[in-house]
This record gives sequence, structure tokens and C-alpha cells, in this order.
Amino acid sequence: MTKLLTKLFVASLRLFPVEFRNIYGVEMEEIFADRIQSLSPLAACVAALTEILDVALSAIRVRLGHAADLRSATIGMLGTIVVAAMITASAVERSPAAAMRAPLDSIDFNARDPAGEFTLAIRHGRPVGATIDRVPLPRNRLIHSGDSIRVLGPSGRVVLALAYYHDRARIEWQPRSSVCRGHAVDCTLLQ
Amino acid sequence: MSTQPESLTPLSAAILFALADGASHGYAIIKEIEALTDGEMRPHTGSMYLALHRLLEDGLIVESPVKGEDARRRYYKLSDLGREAARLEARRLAQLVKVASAKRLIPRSAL
Repeated sequence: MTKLLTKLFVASLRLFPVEFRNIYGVEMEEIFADRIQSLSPLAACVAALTEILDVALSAIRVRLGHAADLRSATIGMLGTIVVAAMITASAVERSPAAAMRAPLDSIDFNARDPAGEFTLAIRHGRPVGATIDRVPLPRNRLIHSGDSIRVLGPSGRVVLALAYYHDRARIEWQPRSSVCRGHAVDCTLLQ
Repeated sequence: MSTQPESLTPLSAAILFALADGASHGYAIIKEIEALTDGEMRPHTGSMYLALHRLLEDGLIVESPVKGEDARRRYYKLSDLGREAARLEARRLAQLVKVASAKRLIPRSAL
């Protein structure tokens, strides 16, 4: 009976995406088998049904999470395209020589991640202003080194880290955790 | 705009609390949660690993390179961010308990 129920449980794990199953599948199977082995046949059947139902619901949540990630990635990509398009449009209005310099002149970047909103103003390739959750930050909290821009919180720790590639008009950043929402101005990034 | 950090799900909070003493693997975390809650919370396997997966993605826990007595299993430990999140959640829950206690919603025997 235990073997049959375990086989059913393992089959239900196929509802999870393959990457999830590859990481956690074996441990989940072991835990399930261990849990039902000491139960009576009836209790084991009830426990197995409950576990399989839970797997189905969890798999739906994992797959919905993946869909949300894809949506965020699409929004991020569109953000980059919009920034690039704005820079290109402003460059087209200038002379060819100025057009080469235009991407360096002025960028106002607005973004959102699980911790909340932030903005970054870049002038002539240098960060000159930033806000987190609409709170303006003093300029001395913006640290610029090479392609890296780090924003420090009041305690002096890094609260936001970005990479700015001015020649490609591209900005990337490390998304902050949702646990920082509401106190993102001083929520330290993992180093 | 929210002024408080987003609260964790009860299961995620329980996982963080269970890991407060050190690294552990999935099954041991389930057992620890059952023991900590006197059996009130008995996480199902799917929910448990989904919660672990999300905590890893959010950077609240990390895989521990140090394996315990069962080297086949993955061990997890709190990150600095996770420990801070656990503290914030504990503080939030304590505040709620204080309010409930002041309103006499908690029987004396439960305190």
C-alpha cells in the first residue's frame, strides 16, 4: 500500500515545473514515504489524498509565480526599450556629432521592484540624484565607480545596487526583496 | 504607500523561526515546526517546499554548505536579511498578541 501511494504521490509531483522537481522531488518523496509508513491503510490513503491535493495547489502557485516573473521581465525589457527609444529620439533631433553624445547627457530612470519604487537621475554619465519610495536621497549617498552605482541608506549600508552601461543606454539592478517594502530607504541588500 | 514591511505567510514565518537556531533540512524543519506549535501546524510537503523555494528566491534563507547528519539532504540557514525579517515578524506578532491580550481575547491558560 505504501509503495502504491508513494508512486501516486511521485506521479503528482509531475505537476511541478521540471526544475522545481529536480531540486526538491527526491526529498519530497522521502518525506511523504516516511510520513505514511506508520499509518493504518485508511489513514495513509487519506493522508496521501491530502498531500496530493496540496501538491496540485502548490504546483499551480509555482506556475503562476513563473508567469508573474515572465511578466516582470517583459516590463523590465519594455522599460529598457522605452529609455533607449527616448534617448534615440532626443539624439535624432540633434546634429550627428551631438547624437553620439546624447545618450550621456540626461537620463531619468524610474523603476519598481518587489521593495518598491526608486528613481535615478544621471547627467553626463554621473548619478546626480535618486529617490527611494519617493524620498529624495542626499547626493553624497550615491557612489559611482566604473559601471557600478551604489545607493547608501542612512546607516551607510548599500540599499540599492545598479549597473549603468552608458554606451549601451542600459541600466540593470539587483531587485530588492519584498521584505524591504515600506522601509526600503534603509533595507540593506545582501552583500 | 505602506509604512510597514510586508508580513510573511504563517508557514514562511514558522520556517524562519525554526531556522533561528541553525541550519536544517526540509524534513527536520517540518518536525521542528510541528514541535514548536504543539502540532497545531503540520505543513504539507508541497506547501513546505514551495515556501522554502520562495524564501530562497527572496534571499531570506540560503543553502548551507555545511551538511548535518544527513549529507544527502539540502540544508538551509537564515541569511542576514532573513534573520532581520524573522525579528520584524516576531515583533509584529508580539504587538498583535499584546493587543489581543489587552482586549481579553486570549485565555489566561494560553499565556
